[in-house]
Amino acid sequence: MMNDQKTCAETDRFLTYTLQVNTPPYTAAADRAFCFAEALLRRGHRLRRVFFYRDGVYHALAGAEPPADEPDRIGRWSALAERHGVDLVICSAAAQRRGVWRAAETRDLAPGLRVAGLALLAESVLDSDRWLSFG
Amino acid sequence: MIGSWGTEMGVLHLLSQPPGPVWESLVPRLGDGDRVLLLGDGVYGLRHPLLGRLQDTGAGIAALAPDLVARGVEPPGAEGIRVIDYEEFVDLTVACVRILSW
Repeated sequence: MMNDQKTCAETDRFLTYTLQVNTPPYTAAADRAFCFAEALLRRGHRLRRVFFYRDGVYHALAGAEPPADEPDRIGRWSALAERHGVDLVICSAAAQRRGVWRAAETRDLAPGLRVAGLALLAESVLDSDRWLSFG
Repeated sequence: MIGSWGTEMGVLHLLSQPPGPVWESLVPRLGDGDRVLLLGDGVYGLRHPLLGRLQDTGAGIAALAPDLVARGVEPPGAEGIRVIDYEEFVDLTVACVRILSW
């Protein structure tokens, strides 16, 4: 940390974030989104909503079973949402296009995830101080 | 340059593409108060001549440490480029109101 920078704890500047994830769970971009989410929470900021868009909607598939020696890249978002009250949303149109919509109809979405439209992304961006897109 | 990182101005450009056409289109858009964070395959640019074009714009340039390590790219020496972790990445987004992903 450079001397001229202050952490948010020192300046009491806590911001609200919206993150948009455009790639599937097993991609470097999605990993970066998760690492960034954890870091902003460690800094004391608020993560209002994560909007999974395009191929990002594959984050909602509860049936995905990663090998035991890999991190559970879906379950860790669910855990983060539960711990910090983060709203996890997949885009309804993107989900329909990719057949992920079926999982929503059979209530087979990963815990903490729900389906909504782009309007919710717009609302979240307007209510947030920062909006970052990954992938 | 370092002193300007704490002020709220400019755009933070997240550059995750390797050097190529995307870098070419970014260069003319960069101004003095802007910052560029090299992440993902963008860190390969630390070994590419296009890096000089980015630096010539006056924009502050940083690279994400875990992505350097993952790709075996040596951290830059005294080239005015900061190597940062995820917490400092967050601090950069606090300093910049607008963030663009490339």
